[in-house]
Amino acid sequence: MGVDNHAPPPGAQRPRRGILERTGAAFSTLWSAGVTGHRNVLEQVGAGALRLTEAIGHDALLFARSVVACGGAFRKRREIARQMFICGVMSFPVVVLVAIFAGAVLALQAGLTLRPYGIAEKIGAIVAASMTREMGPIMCALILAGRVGSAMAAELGTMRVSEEIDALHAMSIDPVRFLVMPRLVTMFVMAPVLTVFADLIGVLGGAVVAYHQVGVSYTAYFNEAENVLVLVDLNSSVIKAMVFGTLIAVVGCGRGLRAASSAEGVGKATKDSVVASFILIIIFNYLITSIVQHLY
Amino acid sequence: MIDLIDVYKAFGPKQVLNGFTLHVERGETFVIIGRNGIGKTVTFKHIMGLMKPERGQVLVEGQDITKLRGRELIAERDKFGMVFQGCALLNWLTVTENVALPLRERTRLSKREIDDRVREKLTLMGLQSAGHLYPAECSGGMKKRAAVARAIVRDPEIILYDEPTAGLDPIMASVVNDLIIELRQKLQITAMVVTHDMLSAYRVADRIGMLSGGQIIEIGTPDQIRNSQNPIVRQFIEGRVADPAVAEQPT
Repeated sequence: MGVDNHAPPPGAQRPRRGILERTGAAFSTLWSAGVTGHRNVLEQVGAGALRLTEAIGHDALLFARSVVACGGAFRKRREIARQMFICGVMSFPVVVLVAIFAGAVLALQAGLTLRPYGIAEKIGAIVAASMTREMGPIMCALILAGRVGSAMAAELGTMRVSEEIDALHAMSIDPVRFLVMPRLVTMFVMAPVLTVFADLIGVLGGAVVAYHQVGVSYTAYFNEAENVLVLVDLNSSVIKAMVFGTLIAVVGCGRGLRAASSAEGVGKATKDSVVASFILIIIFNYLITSIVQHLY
Repeated sequence: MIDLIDVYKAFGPKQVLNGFTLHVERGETFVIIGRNGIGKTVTFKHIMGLMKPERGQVLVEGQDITKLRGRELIAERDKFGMVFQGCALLNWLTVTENVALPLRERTRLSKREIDDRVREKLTLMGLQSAGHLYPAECSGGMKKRAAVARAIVRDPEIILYDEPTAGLDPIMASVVNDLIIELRQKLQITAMVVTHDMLSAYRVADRIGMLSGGQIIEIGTPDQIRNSQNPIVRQFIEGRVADPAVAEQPT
């Protein structure tokens, strides 16, 4: 009978493996997980890419169908007005609050940095340019994505769970025309309105801090603000807001309409809508800024 | 009037409809009974064209609904009214607005005509004084009647009831059963009901079909089903806990 000379005697401790050996074993397990029924890394990456492509395709199609449905926007004026109240007017207080303090902190930081150089009055230029070109649209879009986009995903997802979307189909009512289009129009209109308010209120918040904490007069502050702002800044702010508003509505409604028919599915759709909106807002902000800089 | 011929439908590995075949006559009330998750609602969604089968035909007055797209499918769906299990009323609209919804969205009727039609259907359902309420303010029975009113407001040829008595107390369930019978008598419409409430099935049905394993395994009048010797049917109507000899094979 043969004896395995390599086998450790009973009770002996197993020799400790080196870090390279352990890392190699971990990778080996990861890559061969498919054998045991789990998907390996390549499969997971592939599945993720497929899901992403599917989501982009679905959202693009939803956007196209909603734009086509905009022809019937006048008939949906009552629903659009209702959505404008829920998404726009109800978001106003939080946008105002965030804009005031964003402008205030900008003015404070700029003031503390510029005062030693004797150019504290430039705060007006810095706050006005920052708020209008970048902070106003981005801040407003992030608030709307968190407050409105997630609510759209949750509402439409819940409607899917409770068969209300099926009921619309059964009544031959197109959910895109009935539910998505009014929300898209609302966000396309209300996001720029809120953004312009956020820009203005942020500049005002900065003015108060500049006067009381840095000692810059209101006249100097607003003169500097006026000097730095050109029409293109406001245009850029409004264009960004329109694009962000559209993205938030399409992503929110798209995730809601495709939510799995369960409470967990609605939760996931809501979370996904916020994450996807945030990512798209940041990417599109860069793209729009680049294009506007080239155009003017 | 409605024919499902050799219909197959699977969700992932689960085969829900497995060669499903059924014929429903014009003007009759046909009840499909069967256990939870057996494919009753899926059958309705195929009849409405809300789902496509992997194989087979779904004929409504000889027209294969699985082959229709766009406007043709919408025109075919206009023949139906459907009452969903959870009523599926839109919660931001009042009962009146919910009932008026198919007319507002799918017809060119004037406001006065829509109001008249809605008032007529609400009266028929005994909801004339509840039109201003929102679904959240209504009882289960009121919601069910509002859902029926919405389903019949366009005078459909066929009405589908998905678990019409689910979640209702016995008295309200009787009210809904009477409603189904009354509608058939008054409006002469073809009705299909899916339920696992045998009291409701016996009361409203002209014929009952037992769905099991993705197929209709027995069809008969309420009396024939009551006296059926099929072990699966007996187990279901008597509500006996699964006997291994007659337990359903997993689909």
